[in-house]
Amino acid sequence: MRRAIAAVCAAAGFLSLWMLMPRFDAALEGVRPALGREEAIRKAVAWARAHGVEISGWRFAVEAEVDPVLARIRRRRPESEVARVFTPVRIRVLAFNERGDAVLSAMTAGGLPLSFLDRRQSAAGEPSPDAAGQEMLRLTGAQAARFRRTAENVRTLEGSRSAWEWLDPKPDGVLARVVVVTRNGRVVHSSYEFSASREAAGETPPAPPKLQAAMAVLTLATAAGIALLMLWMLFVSLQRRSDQFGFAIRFLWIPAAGVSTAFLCGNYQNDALLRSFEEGLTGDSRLVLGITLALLLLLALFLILAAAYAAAPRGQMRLWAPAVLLVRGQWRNRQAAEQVWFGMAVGALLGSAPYWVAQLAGEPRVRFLEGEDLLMAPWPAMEAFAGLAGAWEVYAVALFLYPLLSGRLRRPWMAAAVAIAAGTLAATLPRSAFPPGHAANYATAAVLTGGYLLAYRYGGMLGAWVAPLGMHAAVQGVRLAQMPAPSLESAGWQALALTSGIAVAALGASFLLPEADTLAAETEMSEAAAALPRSQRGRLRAEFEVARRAQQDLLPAGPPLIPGFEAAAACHPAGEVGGDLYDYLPGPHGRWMLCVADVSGKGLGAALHMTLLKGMLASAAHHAPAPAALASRLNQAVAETGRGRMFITLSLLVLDPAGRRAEHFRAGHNPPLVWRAQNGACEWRKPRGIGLGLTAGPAFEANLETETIEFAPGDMMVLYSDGVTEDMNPEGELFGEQRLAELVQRHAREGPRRLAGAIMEEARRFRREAELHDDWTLLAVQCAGGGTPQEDGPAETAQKS
Amino acid sequence: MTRSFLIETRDEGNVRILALRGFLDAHTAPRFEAAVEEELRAGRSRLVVDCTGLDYISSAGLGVFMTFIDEARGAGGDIKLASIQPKVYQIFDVLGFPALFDIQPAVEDAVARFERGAGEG
Repeated sequence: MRRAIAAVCAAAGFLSLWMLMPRFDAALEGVRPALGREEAIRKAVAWARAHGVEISGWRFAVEAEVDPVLARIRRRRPESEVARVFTPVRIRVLAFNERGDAVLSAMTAGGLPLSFLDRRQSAAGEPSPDAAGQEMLRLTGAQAARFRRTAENVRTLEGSRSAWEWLDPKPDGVLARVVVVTRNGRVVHSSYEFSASREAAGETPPAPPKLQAAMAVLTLATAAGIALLMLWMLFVSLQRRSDQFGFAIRFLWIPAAGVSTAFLCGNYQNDALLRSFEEGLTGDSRLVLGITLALLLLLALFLILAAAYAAAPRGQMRLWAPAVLLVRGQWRNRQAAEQVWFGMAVGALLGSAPYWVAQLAGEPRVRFLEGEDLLMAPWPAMEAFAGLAGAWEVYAVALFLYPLLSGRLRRPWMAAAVAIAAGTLAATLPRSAFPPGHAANYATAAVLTGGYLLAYRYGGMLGAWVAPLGMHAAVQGVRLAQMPAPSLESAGWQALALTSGIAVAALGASFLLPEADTLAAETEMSEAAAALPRSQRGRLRAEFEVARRAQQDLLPAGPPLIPGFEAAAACHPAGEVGGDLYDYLPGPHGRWMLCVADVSGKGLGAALHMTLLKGMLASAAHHAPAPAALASRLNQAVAETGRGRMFITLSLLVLDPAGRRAEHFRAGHNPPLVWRAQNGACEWRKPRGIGLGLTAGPAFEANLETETIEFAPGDMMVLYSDGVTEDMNPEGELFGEQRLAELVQRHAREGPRRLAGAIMEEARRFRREAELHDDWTLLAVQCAGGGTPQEDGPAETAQKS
Repeated sequence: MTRSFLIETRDEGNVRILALRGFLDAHTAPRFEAAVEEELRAGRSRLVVDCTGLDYISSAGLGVFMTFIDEARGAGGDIKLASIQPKVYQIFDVLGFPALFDIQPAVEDAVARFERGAGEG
């Protein structure tokens, strides 16, 4: 069941991611470039030659991009003229050389020229008197007659600008525009573009912006609601806690923090995201949409990570514990701070590494081309790098597969290898129309995936979660540094300042903050993990079984041989391990120390204190002080180790078998019961006494009463933990003292062993299907010589006869 | 299975009353702990815990009282318990709490004891 929920969550997360991330194929709708990479380069060389620029022998970078408006026109009106002339795909070919010269040309999917940009350091070539007019003819070809000149040699910073337009409202309502910029009689920049109104694109009339925004937000809110619901289901199935809902909701601030940071860094206007959501929903609502989409993206990522957490093997919990502690509100948490700064550092290293590599390899840098994409690329041959930096699918695939597979595959490196391979494929395959040309991108994607795994493996879940932030900061920093004149472009500086601020704060915090008790969180998580798929549950069970057995070994192996007395005990921890203890310890002069103790709380923490108490008792029995002194010493020890956060209740009997009497004290423990064989009556022994560790002051000693209990033959004393009397049935009814006393009266004559068995059996019957909610311990000791145990009766009779 | 637990605070003179309702167990104890800590941080160390509506207390709940009693007394105040249901009182009693804490039958008694203490001091 839980495995199914985790699988559904992961599927939903990947599906959302798939829908949110732009995909080359779907956007192209069957209009992939008709040219191969080499053909595109050949066309570009010819096109440049027409401008008098020789670029053969230069290096090339090729990419394809999609115009969504044209894609829509083509889809709706395949017969229209625009659709015939223009394909939604534009191929861009960047040529560059070692001197830093660059020429960028764009063409349609079929190879018709669309634009030209000349960025040579020193321009040479034949000037032509009407370069602009010739360029217009080259671009428009047979359509040239339809164009009307709208601007002539307007002086701009770039050069003299001329423009032509062709407005044809009849068939399509499209506007075609040619812009040519010349300098010294040479074309330095030209472009041929189409724009179409929504009506032309066959859209329904646009809704008013407010309505659009409302609809968009409603759609996204529904999607987010579904994602939240799934997260909740996941956590419900993970945590057998009564506050799963609150826990899951609190867990959400981790993605929320990511969104806020992204927002502050100015990354909220994610064009790629918007493009995939554009149909009928954009307009004035772009900003709202951008933020909501970013939220949804992060939610989808988080759903995937949560599914990975749900399915991750036990060994991975260590990496998640600091995050879980943060969720519980434990901010003073050094491990979390360490994870954050480490993740940031790994991210920054990942982001800046390609630039360092480019620098060291002496790759030429092409500065200040149009558009940011090429500026963001560490070197021009890494065309798709800009996309890779924000490749969330790499992140999701790697961080889903790695925790899932580690510890499950035969060798540890295999999980990493599979995750890196899958991440690389996820990043590179759908991202470009020219996959084989991007060896550098494959390498970058592999390094990126490997880096994320590193961040996760050594920086834990938080490290992996913040690594993209560090990476974005590094990329932004490099971009700022690469700009010809550093400008205070807000988003870049914000990203840098904010993320480095977080990283430095986390670094500082990792020195200042106290270490958090991640062991406790891990224990709880493993309790939660106990509700996980069978294969893991088996391993977990095995580990707890070891702990349980170790603890069982601490309990006496069998009843002691006390002359004149018989004792027996039963102990049943509520969890795999318990906080209850009973013991029989021989002391000097034939005395025996018998006790039942209950450590506050349960689970591993209580079990550890129980083992400590066991040691203290053994040492005390060896020195055999008077009961009061013994109690005082135990109290001091518990107060010191428990530091006011835990306490132990203890009922202890120092039995003098020869004298048929016992000294008893009760440190906050349930009053033991003494059954008198003579009249079959029960009495509760309730000397005053405070629980061990409740106070280190003299109040403990002042309130401790030691009593002497005289045993007549057949008298039985029963010590027990509150798990016995507070045992609860499904109706919420308590087992209670009354029921216990009645059982003792009914079974006391059968001897301690049978009595303990009978009470345990009755408790089980009483509890029915309800779970044992507290450790259950009972110890009975009986003075021999009273009534003959019933089952031995016939045997003895037989012997006599 | 979620059991409710509520804390209501009010002032009576310069004594802070924390009225508990419901189940004080391992799940709800952190809330009570936070509430007491908040009072102590704010310098209000004269606390009366009104247990009229308290239906159940587990060892974790008892731990909260232990955690703060020394601090409250160190700051010149106290944590007094009042109006405990017999069933719950039994748990306090078994553990020996009456020896460590001032437990009063009614909130007024507890407040009065603070005032008397202040008068004496």
